[in-house]
Amino acid sequence: MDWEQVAQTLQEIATEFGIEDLDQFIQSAWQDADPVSAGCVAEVIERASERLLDQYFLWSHIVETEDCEWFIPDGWYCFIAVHPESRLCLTFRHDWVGCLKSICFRARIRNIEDAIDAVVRLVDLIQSNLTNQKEGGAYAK
Amino acid sequence: MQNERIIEVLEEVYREEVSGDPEDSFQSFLEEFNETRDPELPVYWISETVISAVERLSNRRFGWHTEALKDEWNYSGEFLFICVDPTNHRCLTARTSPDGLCTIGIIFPILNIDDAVHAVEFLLSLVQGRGETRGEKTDESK
Repeated sequence: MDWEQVAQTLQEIATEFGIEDLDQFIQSAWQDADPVSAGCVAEVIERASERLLDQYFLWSHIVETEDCEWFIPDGWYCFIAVHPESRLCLTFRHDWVGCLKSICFRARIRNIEDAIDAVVRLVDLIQSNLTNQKEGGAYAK
Repeated sequence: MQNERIIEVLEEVYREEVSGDPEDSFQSFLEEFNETRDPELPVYWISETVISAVERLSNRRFGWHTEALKDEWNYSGEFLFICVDPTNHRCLTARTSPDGLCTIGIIFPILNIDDAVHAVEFLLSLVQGRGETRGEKTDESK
């Protein structure tokens, strides 16, 4: 996936969300410990992935927090994507021996570069699982 | 499955796999959590115990994601469960609500042993392909 295309898509989605400076917004969500903004960052990532793949998915995201008491976002996010028709988990990964590794895609997103990298890897994972689903093969390692 | 058997397994897995203390009791832990909602308590022990009980009773392993939900300040006592079958990658907790809303997780309040039994019964019905439809909430707020 082309980084410039991802950056442009992220910017388009951010504009639709009313976010002027996405880099600043992502940094603030983490540095100002704002769980609402962090939730928006997660949604921007999801919408960008859908637009780049030209498909819709069912999502669950988790804004991770640095402690249990104050629920302060720590800049880490988890995403689970499920195909709306087949109900197959598209963020499912095996380890190198073929055992279940995780059903989540996890990424640190503290600035725009992290966000672009996260979308690139998330789209690749979903694309790989969609391709393997069609071919009836094993899921992404 | 009888409630007594589910409670027995919940206590077994809690002692053996979660708390690691042979003198500990899941029921006591739930009571303490419900009374105090102390954020310092290892709240995920509750959902881990439910998951381990489902896997032990079904004699199978699954891919899970669980989240202890929060209200404004504290854990609410509600837990989100997302379960994926590793053999076919199907999300077993994905469902469509009567009003047509699709969700991938199920939320259970787990504040006492009866709540925990209900969560185990329901998740067991999903992993065994029986698909009970009583009493759960979907994660439509996500």
